[in-house]
Amino acid sequence: MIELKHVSKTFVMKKSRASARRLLHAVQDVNLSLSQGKFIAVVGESGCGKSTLGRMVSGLIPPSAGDIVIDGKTMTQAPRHAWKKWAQLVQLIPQDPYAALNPVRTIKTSLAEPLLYHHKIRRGELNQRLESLLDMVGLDAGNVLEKFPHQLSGGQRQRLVVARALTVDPQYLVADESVSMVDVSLRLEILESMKQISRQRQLGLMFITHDFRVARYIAQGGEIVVMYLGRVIERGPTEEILRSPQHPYAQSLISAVPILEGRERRLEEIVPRNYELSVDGVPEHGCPFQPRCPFATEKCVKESPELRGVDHPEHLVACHYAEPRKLIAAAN
Amino acid sequence: MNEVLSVRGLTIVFPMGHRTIRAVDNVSFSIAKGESIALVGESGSGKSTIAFALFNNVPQPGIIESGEIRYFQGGNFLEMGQASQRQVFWEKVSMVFQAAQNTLNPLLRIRRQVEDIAQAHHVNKKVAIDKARELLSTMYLDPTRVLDAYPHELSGGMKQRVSIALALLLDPEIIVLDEPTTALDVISQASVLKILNEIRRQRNISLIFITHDISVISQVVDRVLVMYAGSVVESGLVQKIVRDPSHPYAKGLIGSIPPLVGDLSDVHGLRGNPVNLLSLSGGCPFADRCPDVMTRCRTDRPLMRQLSTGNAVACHLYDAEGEEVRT
Repeated sequence: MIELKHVSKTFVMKKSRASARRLLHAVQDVNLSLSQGKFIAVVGESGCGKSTLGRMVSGLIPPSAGDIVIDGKTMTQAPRHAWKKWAQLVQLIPQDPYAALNPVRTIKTSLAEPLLYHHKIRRGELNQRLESLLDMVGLDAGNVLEKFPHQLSGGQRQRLVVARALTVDPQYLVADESVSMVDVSLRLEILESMKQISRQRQLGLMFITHDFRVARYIAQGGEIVVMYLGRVIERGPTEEILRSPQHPYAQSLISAVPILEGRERRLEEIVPRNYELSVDGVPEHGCPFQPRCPFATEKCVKESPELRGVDHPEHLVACHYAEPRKLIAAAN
Repeated sequence: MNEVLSVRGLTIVFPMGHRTIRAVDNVSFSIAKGESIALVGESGSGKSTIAFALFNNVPQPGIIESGEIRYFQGGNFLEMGQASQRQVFWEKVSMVFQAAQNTLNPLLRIRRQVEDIAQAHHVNKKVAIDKARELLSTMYLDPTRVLDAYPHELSGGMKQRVSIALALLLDPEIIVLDEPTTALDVISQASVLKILNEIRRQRNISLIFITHDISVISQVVDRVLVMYAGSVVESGLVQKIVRDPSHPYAKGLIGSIPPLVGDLSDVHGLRGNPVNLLSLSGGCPFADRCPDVMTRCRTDRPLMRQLSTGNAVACHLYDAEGEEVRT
């Protein structure tokens, strides 16, 4: 199990002519746990800290405060060389499959490197191993191995990036917007195979996305975590969050998903007061969402709401005025 | 019906060495005043090539082999001289490009870009600025701030809204929007879609959306043309296509959108790889990926047929009377 205990990440924004030196709190005091076989979707707009969270979970950047504990071992306290083990446990599937593969290396070289680096196999076994890996993500080894990334389509590259993450037999996968660069018609097939592989191998999957459709699909039976400006503002079982979201931000995000005319209909729409997330205007006190919240009061400006349980035991919301709203129903 | 655009038998080819690719193959459609339609298809379906053809500006080395495009029931736009083309283009028909961040000049304030458009089209600059102020405020933007801003001072969603405002500046009757929301965040995307719906209602403008994601535009369009490998494979009212698609490709496309409510178990991805235009044979271009493929699909190209549901479909599963053939 991966446990995040009060994890924060603060970036120092250098002083420039345009702006003074300041601190950017990308992730603030996040507590989460991801066990093997469990699926979590982290949802939020760009700038909400979801990618930073994913990079910390996969050990690519250290947290500024708090601890990450994997299977009882506090990884963040471990010496740097122990982090190699971290990479074997948790693998990140990056967002952009065009940037993630080295353009001057063949696919075979790209895939073989992690296997040989982590001493997973002997050279003689390489081809056989690569074939089975590619087969798992639905690619034909004979067709792909000797090619360079530019000779492949976007969907194929996306699959390759998944295959590469699987080379070291990780126990957890962190997927950062992993299908947003792919045509809609091909997205679902990739998500399907990611889900199937994770289920077969009992992997813990953390899927980072801005799209509630994808979040619901991937975290079916799992958990949805909604982040805003570095903080978790709502979390709970996937169906529970979609059926009765309680935080006005989660409600705005669900209201912003375009309805599929003829299949779904909107019952109620929550529109934030400002369409743009402004990182400069983060309030120092009170609720982070208060400047955009349509329901904000004096209390929201003064007091920062804590995550607290509502109706369902696992459903947590950080809002003074949390109220369930039914936003979407099937078309009749 | 007051037809503002009619495209008939449009075919666009790209010579590649000793072979030619038919990027757009005999496409016909029309759009009425105030109507909104979408060309939906994956990469390589020819949808963007059609958008460029609407301005007679197909990227090199593409050639418009045949077909005609008529605006406002006039002459064939493709045969007009440049001067007459320019009268139609931008003043009557304008375009919002994909990734609008890249269409604004990074070195000029928005005010200056508005003035440039005014100058090029012989409009008084003051009139244009006043018009731009009004348009920017309907886009939920602060006109004074935005006019004096450089593009880098605006967020992606704001830039996209500015480029929609610029496209509206000369009061066009048709706007072509190529993937207008792909680069945007969810909430900005919702705002852009809402604005487009508003201007369509208020100004009675015709909109043509070019997109790969039917779920995004289903609320802002009346009709949809589903494209595959350069041809229209199904067309009809958006609700009909979403609820009850007929062509196996359209079925696959709609079936691969995960719903927000209800059962997730019927959701499945489309199998196979996107079409390779170089390896098309004489049959149905979708035959290789089609779950219902029959022997004749490999040899005969299906023709467009009108169905009893009101949709039109090009598929051998439906006979000349529009009834479903079950084999």
